Amino acid sequence: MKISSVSFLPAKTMPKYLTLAKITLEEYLVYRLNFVLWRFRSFVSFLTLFFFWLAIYGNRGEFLGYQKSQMLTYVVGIAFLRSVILGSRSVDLGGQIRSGELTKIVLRPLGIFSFWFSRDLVDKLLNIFFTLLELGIVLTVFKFPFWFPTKAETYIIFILLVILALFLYFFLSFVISAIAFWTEEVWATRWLFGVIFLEFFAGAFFPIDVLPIWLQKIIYLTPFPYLVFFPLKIWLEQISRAMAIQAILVCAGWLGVFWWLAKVLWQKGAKNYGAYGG
Amino acid sequence: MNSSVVEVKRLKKFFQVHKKEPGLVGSIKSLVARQYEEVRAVDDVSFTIEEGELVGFIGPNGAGKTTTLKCLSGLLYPTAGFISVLGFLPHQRKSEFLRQISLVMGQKNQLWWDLPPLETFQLNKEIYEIPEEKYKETLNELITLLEVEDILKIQVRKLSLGQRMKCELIAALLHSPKVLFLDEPTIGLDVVMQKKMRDFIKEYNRRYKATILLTSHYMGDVKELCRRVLIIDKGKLVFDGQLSEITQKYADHKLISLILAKEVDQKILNDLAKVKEFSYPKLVYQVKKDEVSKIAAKVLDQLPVADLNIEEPPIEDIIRELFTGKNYA
Amino acid sequence: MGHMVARLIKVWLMVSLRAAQSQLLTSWAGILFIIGKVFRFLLFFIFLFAVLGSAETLAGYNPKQVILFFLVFNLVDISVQFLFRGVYQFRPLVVSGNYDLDLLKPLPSFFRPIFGWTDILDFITLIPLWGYFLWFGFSQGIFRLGNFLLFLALFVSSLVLGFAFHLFVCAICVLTTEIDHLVWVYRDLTNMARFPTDIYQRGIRLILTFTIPVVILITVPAKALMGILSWQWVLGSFLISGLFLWFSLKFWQYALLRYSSASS
Repeated sequence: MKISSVSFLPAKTMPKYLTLAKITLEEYLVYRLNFVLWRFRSFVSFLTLFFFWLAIYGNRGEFLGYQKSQMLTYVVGIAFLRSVILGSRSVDLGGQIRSGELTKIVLRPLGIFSFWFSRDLVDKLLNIFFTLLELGIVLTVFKFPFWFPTKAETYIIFILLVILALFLYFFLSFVISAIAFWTEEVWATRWLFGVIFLEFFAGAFFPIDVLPIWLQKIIYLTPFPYLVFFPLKIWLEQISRAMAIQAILVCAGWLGVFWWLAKVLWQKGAKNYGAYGG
Repeated sequence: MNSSVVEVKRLKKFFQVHKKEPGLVGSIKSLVARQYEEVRAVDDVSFTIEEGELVGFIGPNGAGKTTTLKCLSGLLYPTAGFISVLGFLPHQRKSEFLRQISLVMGQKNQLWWDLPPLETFQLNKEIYEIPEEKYKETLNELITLLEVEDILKIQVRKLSLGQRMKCELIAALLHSPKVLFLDEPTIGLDVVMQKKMRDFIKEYNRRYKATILLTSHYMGDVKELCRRVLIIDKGKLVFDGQLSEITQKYADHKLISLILAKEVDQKILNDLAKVKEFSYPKLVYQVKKDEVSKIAAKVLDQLPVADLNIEEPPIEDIIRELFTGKNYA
Repeated sequence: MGHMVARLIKVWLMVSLRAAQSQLLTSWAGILFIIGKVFRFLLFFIFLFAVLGSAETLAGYNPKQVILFFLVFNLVDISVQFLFRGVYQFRPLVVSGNYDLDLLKPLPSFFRPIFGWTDILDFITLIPLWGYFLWFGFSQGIFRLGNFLLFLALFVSSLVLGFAFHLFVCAICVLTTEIDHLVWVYRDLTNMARFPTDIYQRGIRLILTFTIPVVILITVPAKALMGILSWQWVLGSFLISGLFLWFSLKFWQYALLRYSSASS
């Protein structure tokens, strides 16, 4: 069995990817109740955080280094970045490896990374669309001043980091899923590393710098803060340009590491996969 | 006070199944308004069964036999009609009713996958409140009958399919049910296991006088086990009677099977009558009932025959023809 | 009646023991889950301490009270998950058709769906949690005996409410097999009660009281413990628990009538 090479550019196979995107979209529509409920869930977790901080601030203007509007913008930012960066179908990969379905996919003429990325793209686009809708509703209802960056360069650096973070998460998630080649505990490992560790350390519940210093230091050693926390810090213009550039470089570094790791694990795992008896 | 163990009057069970058109447009449409279609799984079926009978429900896939069984055991609520099993209304699933019946389905299991079968047995003992002595006695009898003494302490996941099926049977029979529903009991089993299964069922019926209803689409099951057969097709009861009657009633032809003493030109063979099967030296003709003697005489006259037999067509063929719509009386 | 209950408890213990054995024999998924849960608890705890250290009040409650809300939340949430975890295994049970075999056993029809998969590891985490909770309450001088007894009664009522909700979810699963997200909706809404629910606007609090009654589930027992619960709320809570239970049972019976069983 020829293992499809780990190429990334879709080049002449565009129509195939469009079909793939269409099929993914259809899947969502078939499980319509699931879809609605999933949107509901995202909205609820956003609301919880939003009100928590609203209540903490009370009448204060500033708390723990964040203006009220900044903190609330952070919460909104979490919701948005979750859909952009953390929306992913490579979650399915683990299950497909265990069930043996992967053999079918690998035999199709699509690069494996491109395959998953296309599905992710659909996921992210859907997510973004609905998130913007929901956020729009909340912002108009509550009428609080959303924080916008004052300098033009902030936007550029922000977008740059978000794009890097997007790919970083893609490969990170891929690596977690690839564990499925070697163990049956797909759901549990994904939950522990991909949900619990990741969301706390990425700053997807609360900004990392409200935690005690010793904990912050540990977290900054991991790749996770670059997914949500640092992009938002850049947006809120709370870190210097030098630090922002540093963040981009470090993120790019992590991206390289996980890209390489994903490639290695995939090739190793796929090689042994044939023997699994799919 | 009727004595029938099972009584079914004009049973109907219909399902609503939703349909979706293919493609993206179809998906969006179904998001807004779903289309439903009614499936008539069981459509006006009536019969009674007495204590100790071993009855087979046969029919093609999707005929409604499993649905009927599920209605009888109480899993499904009938759309219309009347069912009584052991004097109870099955769908109420009263505790007393449930303690006297058992359902075994070919590919479904109740054994705990990662534990030895014994663990499930002990659990069932508690669930059915089987007294210790009776439990030991029944367990030993079943173990002996099914020859599974050695595997009781091995994890279920490590057992072969045949061994697993045997343990499933034990788990289902520990409480000595009066009525046993078997749904496709030999499906997926190899030939040897199928025979063992059939022998066991026959023996169980003989020894404990349990009323057994089984569904199958394997003729082998039915031929071996059931004298009485109910044929269900497309939800309707097409035949209810003795197995031997089917041949008499429905077969419009017989088979002349013979052994040729020496080779004969194929054309000559074909001219005499319709050839059903030929691989030298065996030859089988399919002949209309009323022409059997005539053709047999012709064959004996014109061919070098070493041996000749006149046979009923195999029951599978008859039933297959029934299902292709040729022959409902 | 007593005999029936005793028998059910015995069967439940036997089932739980087997579930624990199965888990230990097959995977370390359980360990991973425990690690995750403990980690999540600790991190939120640290977070609360860090924030409350600077803020000093949250919607009018002092830090000790906020911590208490958080602890009660965990007690109720984990107890409910511990007891009713069967729900997470129910969909595969229905889809595979194996549930048919459970329906025909002389046990309550909801026995396996709800009580069939209790997690011994959850039970193990409950012990230190209760320990810390009691130590925290008594050492900080917050608990009065009367309040504590009322709290226990309301805690039991919360368990009944949790049961009713899980039964409702099982009924939905029987009808549509689309269960996955419903349970998570419940979990997400319940998670809103990590903090005192007073922080939410009135509209949301209404939803949290009368749809999935998270307020009744968690905030009410916590408030009773602090002695700040009016008798109207006490009465109303018991009433709502009872109502939900009655409704869930009826809905479950309806779902079973419409049960179509996996086709052969």
